[in-house]
Amino acid sequence: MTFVELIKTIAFGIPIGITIIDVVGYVARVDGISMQPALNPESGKDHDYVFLKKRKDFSRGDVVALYSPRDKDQKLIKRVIALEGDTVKSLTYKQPVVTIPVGHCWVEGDNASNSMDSNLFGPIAVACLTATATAIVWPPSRWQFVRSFVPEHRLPENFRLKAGE
Amino acid sequence: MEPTIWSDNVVLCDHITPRYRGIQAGDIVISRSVTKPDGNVCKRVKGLPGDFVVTDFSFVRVPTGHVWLEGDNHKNSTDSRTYGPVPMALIRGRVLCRIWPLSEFCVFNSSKS
Repeated sequence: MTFVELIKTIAFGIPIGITIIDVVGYVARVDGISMQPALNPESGKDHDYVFLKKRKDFSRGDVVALYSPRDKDQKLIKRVIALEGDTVKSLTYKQPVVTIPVGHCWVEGDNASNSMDSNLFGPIAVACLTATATAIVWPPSRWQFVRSFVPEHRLPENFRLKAGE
Repeated sequence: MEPTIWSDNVVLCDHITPRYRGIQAGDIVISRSVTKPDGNVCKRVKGLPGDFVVTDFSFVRVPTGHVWLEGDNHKNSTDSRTYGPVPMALIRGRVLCRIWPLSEFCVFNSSKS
């Protein structure tokens, strides 16, 4: 009897679990120093665990999880700097000024000198983006929401013009 | 993708074999659209990373981790010739067979047509 119940629990639990991971979100560990100081502020200490909320629409400043365009098995966590139609000044990309094509966006790590981001790949298809990081859930000393902002010096050029008026 | 797949056809998409044997040139794949993030497109893989692909006037080298997608209906297809190579992460699966309409059931093999 208990065995049958166990099978039943598994048979119902697995599909529900997969659906939640697919639709709602999941918790993932952040590796590396590319998002310092927002995530993993001290290199030697514990890794941050973030909650990744599944999304389809993204706005400037969001911290997002995405598949690397270079390697389909590698996942990255970066900040969206610009969306389609914006103009950004790149830091190290081959074009000094980039206008983001339709369906693409520009992502950068907060720690620009140590980050594999759009300055290497160029604009990235929004379809590569899977989720936004909403909160740091572990370790407890780091409990907080992840703030959504674009660093002042990395604002897209079209926003700077508006600000200057 | 006409004349291989027509509008309103129903196809079976396989997520498993691309994981094990990878994508091969000639496969028909379903990929998330580069221009419309919500949409999916169905195209044939024409080039794998490192391949040289002929476009209208020149050769293009497909970069690491990308594939070159083209529709079979060359005159009426928005594909890599318009938006360039597509990251492999966007590919959702390989089109295996057509299941509707039943009278036109067929298994697609990776031909380089």
